[in-house]
Amino acid sequence: MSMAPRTRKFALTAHVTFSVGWLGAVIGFLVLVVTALSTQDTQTVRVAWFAMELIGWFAIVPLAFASLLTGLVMSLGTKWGLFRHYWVFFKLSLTVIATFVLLLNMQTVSFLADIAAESESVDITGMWGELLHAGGGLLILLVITILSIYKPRGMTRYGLRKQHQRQSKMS
Amino acid sequence: MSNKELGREIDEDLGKIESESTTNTPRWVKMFGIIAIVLVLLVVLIMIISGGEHGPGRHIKSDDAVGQTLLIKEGIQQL
Repeated sequence: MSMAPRTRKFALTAHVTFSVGWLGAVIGFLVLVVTALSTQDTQTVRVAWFAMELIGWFAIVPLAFASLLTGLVMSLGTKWGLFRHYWVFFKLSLTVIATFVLLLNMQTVSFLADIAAESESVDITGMWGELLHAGGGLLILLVITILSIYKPRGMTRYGLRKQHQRQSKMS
Repeated sequence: MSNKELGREIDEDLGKIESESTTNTPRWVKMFGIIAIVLVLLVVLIMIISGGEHGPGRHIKSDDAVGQTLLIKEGIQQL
């Protein structure tokens, strides 16, 4: 299955937009975490938890799914495929892992944001966990971006077999 | 941009695919795999050291029935 050139260009634009948006939203999340960790003001920490919950559920999570979905469309709609090239396979794996960890971590963020809303206490220790999660997530997204731009060579066994089959058909 | 130009751009892009024929696993893939394994082991180790509990439950004291007691950083004033 191969997309028409204009459709492919549109899908690529959407994929890049969602992926870069995801990266930017994670940076925004990290700014809140660092601000909360470097303040002594309880109110700032509470507001940071609320803002992190909103950014997480309404920006990072939708962008992660949109990026994953458009990435699948791009792979399946072109000859790159999903499992033919190592860089595509690693990119897909990292995106799935990052999305899975994001969903798990957002449960914690929501829990601690609820606590901040309902009680007079704030949990600052949870912020260190967020620094680790958001920092790790940012690192993974940077690796994904590098893989997308450099497209390092290397075909999987499946990709080589498919290539061989195609060449056999042509000759 | 015309369909013809877009098509040429895609052909150039895909030309890279057609030219690959080596069966050896590239060095960057091996390095990537090693780094991934080390990171996974590191995460597992951190989870074991931190008591094995992960997620929201980590922030609730086990002896607290209501589950509302939180770990408060020293120096932060409660409202």
